[in-house]
Amino acid sequence: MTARGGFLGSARTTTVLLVVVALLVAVLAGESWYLWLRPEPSVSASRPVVTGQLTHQAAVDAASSATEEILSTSYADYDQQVRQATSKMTDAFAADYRKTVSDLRDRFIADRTRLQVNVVDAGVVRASSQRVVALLFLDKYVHKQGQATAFTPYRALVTVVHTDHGWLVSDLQTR
Amino acid sequence: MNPARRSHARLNVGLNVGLCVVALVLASAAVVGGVDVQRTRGERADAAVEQARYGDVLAAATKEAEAVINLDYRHPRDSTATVAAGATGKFRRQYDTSSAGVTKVLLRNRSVMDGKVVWAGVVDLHQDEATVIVATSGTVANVQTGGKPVSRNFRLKLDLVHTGGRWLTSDLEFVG
Repeated sequence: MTARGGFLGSARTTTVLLVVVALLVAVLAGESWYLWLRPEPSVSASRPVVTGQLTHQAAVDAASSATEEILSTSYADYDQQVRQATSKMTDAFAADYRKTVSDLRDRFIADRTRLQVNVVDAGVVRASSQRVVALLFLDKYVHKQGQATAFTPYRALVTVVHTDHGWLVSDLQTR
Repeated sequence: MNPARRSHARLNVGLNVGLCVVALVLASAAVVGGVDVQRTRGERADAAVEQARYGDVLAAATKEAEAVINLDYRHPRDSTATVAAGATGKFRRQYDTSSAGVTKVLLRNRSVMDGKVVWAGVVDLHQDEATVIVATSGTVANVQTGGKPVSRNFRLKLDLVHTGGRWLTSDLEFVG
């Protein structure tokens, strides 16, 4: 038995093997952290976009279509439009939006106003996997009964966040 | 060897064989993981270069846009030289051709344009080409405004190319 189990039977071999196993577990833990748990680089002025192009392009497209839907409205289906628009927003932003539009509702309907907003250009300002900020160039056409259509070019900075329901608008600033 | 020691040695053999198997499995996984780490490291390094490119392009477009919207009839050469320094290709040629006319217009109208970039976003980015949109905010004062600054906001679209280690503007459009 001593001859047969000389190496494999010794307590020293057990110790060495336990150390080797522990080292390999540590190596695997390090590799796993690097591959799956390492945090995404943070967004900064020198590195404003830290996602792949497909991710931020999808977010910018979502911001564009949501912004057109949020800002375009008509006296004819005002309430329905507000309901549709809020489905593209986070709960917090939707609450702010409802408050703003309820203040404007009566005047908007009385003037029989139709508002059409089109995105003419869109670009990514900052992007992480969870949050993308897009700059949109917007053309606004306002039709009021008995008045000529008014055209206004303007700009919007739209923030969208990634949720289980896709990209939702969490902030919208216009200038 | 007495039976107790023999039994203990047999147990050790079993344990060590088991540990050898575990070590082999872990070593194989570590090798596969190591290869994956190396591949991912390369991909992340490439991504970092590409991501830094966004910052470089936005900084260059911001600088050029601010040069274009900051013009002063009291220093016309400085104003036009700053624009020209960030320009290349078609835009540079057009600007060089028209800069004498721009200077005359600045002087005749006693124009002072003052502004800054409020937002800038990348529309498209490749290794050596990019398109950026820029929103600016500022004022213009000239003889038409009686010398009083009047608010003037612009929407600009710039095409940039990477040349000589710098991002330079090859085309600039005021988006109406």
